[in-house]
Amino acid sequence: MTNVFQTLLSGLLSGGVYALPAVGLSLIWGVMKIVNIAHGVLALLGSYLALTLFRALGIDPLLAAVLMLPVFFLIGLIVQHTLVRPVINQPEISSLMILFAFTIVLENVITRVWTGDFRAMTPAYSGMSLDFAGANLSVVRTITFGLAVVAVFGLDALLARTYIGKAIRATAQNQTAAMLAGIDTDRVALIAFGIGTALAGVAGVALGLIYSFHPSVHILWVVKSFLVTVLGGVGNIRGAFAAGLLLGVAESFLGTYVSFRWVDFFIYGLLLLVLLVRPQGLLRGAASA
Amino acid sequence: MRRFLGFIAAVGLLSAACGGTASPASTGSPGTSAAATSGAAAGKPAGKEIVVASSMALTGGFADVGKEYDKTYRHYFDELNKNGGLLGRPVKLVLNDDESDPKKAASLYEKYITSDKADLLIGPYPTPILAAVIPITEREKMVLVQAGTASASLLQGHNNKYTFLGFTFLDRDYAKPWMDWIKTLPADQQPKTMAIFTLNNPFTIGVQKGLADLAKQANINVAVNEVYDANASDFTALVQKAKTANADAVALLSYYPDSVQIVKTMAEQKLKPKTWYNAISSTVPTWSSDLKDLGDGTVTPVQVWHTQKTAGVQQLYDWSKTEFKTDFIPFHVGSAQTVAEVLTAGVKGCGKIDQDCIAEWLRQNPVPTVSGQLKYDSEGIPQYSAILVQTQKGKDLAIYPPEVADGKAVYPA
Repeated sequence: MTNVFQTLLSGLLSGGVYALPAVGLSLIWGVMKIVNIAHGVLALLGSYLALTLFRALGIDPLLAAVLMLPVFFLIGLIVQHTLVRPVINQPEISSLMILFAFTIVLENVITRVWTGDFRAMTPAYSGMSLDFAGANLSVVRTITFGLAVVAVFGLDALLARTYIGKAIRATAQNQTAAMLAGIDTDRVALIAFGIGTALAGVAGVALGLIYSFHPSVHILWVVKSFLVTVLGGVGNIRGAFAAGLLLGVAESFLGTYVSFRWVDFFIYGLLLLVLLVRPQGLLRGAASA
Repeated sequence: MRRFLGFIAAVGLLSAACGGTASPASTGSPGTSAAATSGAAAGKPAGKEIVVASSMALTGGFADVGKEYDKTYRHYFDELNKNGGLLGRPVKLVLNDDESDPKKAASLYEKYITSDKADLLIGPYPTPILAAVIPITEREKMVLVQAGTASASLLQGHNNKYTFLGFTFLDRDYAKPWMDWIKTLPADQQPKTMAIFTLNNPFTIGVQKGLADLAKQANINVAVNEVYDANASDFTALVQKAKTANADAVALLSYYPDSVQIVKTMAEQKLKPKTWYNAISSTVPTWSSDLKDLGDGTVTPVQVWHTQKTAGVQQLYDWSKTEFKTDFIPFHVGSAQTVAEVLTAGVKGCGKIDQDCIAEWLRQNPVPTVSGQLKYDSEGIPQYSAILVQTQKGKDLAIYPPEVADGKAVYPA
């Protein structure tokens, strides 16, 4: 029974790790109707910046995560304003390709600055765990889970209780109607992209704390975030969180009780099934709180 | 659905693009090489340069190890030139970055052979890259001395005539010193249950098969024997499985980044086996700086240790201490030195640059190296010898066999 509980707990914590980068991706996708393929590489930039702050200045990655929020919000505004906005009314493939090009450029910048080597952040609490009802609770994963909870419920509150949040939701649900109601949808898109990118930066710090990383690892990150976003329903923040947890628990039980080799087969099989049977995702979509 | 298809296409493009552009440029090229330089000491070599070409993983996933090879080869050929060169001629090392990419490495070796007309070749690292390179060098009948793969599936049964191994053990024997050492422990203290985590790769799969057989012979039950794919990043379930099985021996058959990740996960999940083995990683100089005390206790095989009495070991040890800031000869430094020694012995033995002659000479004659005197079989494989090393408080100590041991094993780890 302890093993089942441990497996469940490990899965939930891994789920938080999956949900954190997916929340920002889901928000941008839901509001702007674009798939931000650069989301992973932006998160990766967060990992490298945190690494530099940690190694060069001794700044703890958790403090770095807080610092990333305004920095990446600003980066998001710049990317949206300079790259995405000019093509926003063109076919979807335009934004996809321009973000693809941006991804390649940023990946190469990262490679030039930090080289192609694998990197790992190992603060004092790395590898530590807490006892919880007979199970082990990884400290860094628990922190990441906490960050995911804060991100989800913070964003949830923002969307539900503030004017800009309501404007984001309105824009996500029906852009034309939102415009007719007097909402500056361009500004909303800009802010949504900024928030999504800020969350990517924070997610990157968390992912860098848990996993080894290198300049092309963002492909794996963005694919998994895509999976979580689709499962949770595009634009559905709580859905992304729930899908992340579902994915983490499924992987944990499959890996522990079936075989580690079958995990990806089942998980991506599930993605195929969802896309065929319920393409809108398992939960309700469109930036819902 | 249209958006999904667009995303998939973009990810595909991204993967392809990143495979080709992820890493910075090479550190040397035939025209602008940062290669070995001629020394000014006595016996200065003269005449046309002998070009020794190689590719190495200087960036990308295998760069931690690749850099050890790079530094060792450069040092070796620098010293060789200072001491008269090869056949009295200076040696120019041309070593380019293959970015840990088999396709890039294959095209580099094609270029070395067909366009640059390199005189001699040294193999890259690791197995996936050599799997792409060996067919080229065999086809072109170029001697390739390499310590990048010990995979029996690549090196045996293919009628290889020009490929020579710089390691002193094949993949199936990689865990043999571990198992031999375990057998020296009192029977009631030996581990009973083993978990094996294996990267899906010809080399590590070879190690896995050998280890499973060796464990059976040592009466150890392999309760967990899991293979994971190269894109796996979360090993919690794997570690959890080993914990559930009460594994008191754990084997990490993976490359450096995965090993680091698995060790962190083992610590988080409080999986504390009596003994744990990693096939490659713990003599990489960054092991203890990356993992700190989490990396203590692990055991790994090496082929050269400073307590050996073979010629050149002390010099290599002294240089390693300065170059890598370690108190031991890193595994791949010993392997690289062995490769360079085998290649130059073949050329000296032949007295000329003739690929068939070099290959035949190596098969027919014992080759003195820092790894001992190697005797190659018809497939270019030397006889087995290995040493088991354990990381203790950030330092690596040889613990088996007793004649080369410079430390006492910590058990349970």
